Amino acid sequence: MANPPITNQIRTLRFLAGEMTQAELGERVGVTRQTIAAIEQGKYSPTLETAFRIAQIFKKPLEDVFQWQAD
Amino acid sequence: MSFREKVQWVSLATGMLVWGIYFARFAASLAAGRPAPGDVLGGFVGAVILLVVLQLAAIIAIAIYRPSEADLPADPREREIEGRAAIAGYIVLCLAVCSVMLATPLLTIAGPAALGQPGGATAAMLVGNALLAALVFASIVHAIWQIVLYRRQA
Repeated sequence: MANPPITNQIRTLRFLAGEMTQAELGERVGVTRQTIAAIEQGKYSPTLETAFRIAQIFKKPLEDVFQWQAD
Repeated sequence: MSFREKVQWVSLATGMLVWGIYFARFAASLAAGRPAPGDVLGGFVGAVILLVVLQLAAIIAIAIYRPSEADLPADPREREIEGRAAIAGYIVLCLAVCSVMLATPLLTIAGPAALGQPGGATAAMLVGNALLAALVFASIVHAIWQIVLYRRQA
């Protein structure tokens, strides 16, 4: 399965947020740690709601967290 | 591995074990030429009870090990995986039931005659168990497809 053409800065943002763990972020977003890991690795594109929740937790606009890699 | 993926592994392992034993015993009774409807029905009820007990015990054990994960509702990724696997399972079920329907002459006439028991009870057991096998096969595909989707994103 090809990875979706969406990249993200979640790993960096977690680091800048005091080494927030995937589990902590998942708990705050309302998804599992495995889902955060899949999003972070670009193996799963989050729903719009999940994407906005992640951006809100890092207090960043959506486009600072997720980037669309158009062909 | 998430709680729901573990549940799928449990579902797959217990399903294959219990239904494997059930169908092996049914096949043995056919090979011995003495498939008794009462034994088959009893075996089926026993298999369902055993399956429920095994799955409940395993899922409770997983939930006790990680109670925080067990309390969480399915997230969007898990719901998507469940939905995609359900479609795959449904397609397999449709194909398997159609196959059983096409094989009806074999199951109701040729099969009982070959077993030396051309009565209606043997035909009914063969058709009933073929439909059960279709259902079990579809549920196994459903569990396997979920595990595959979880592993692809792991």
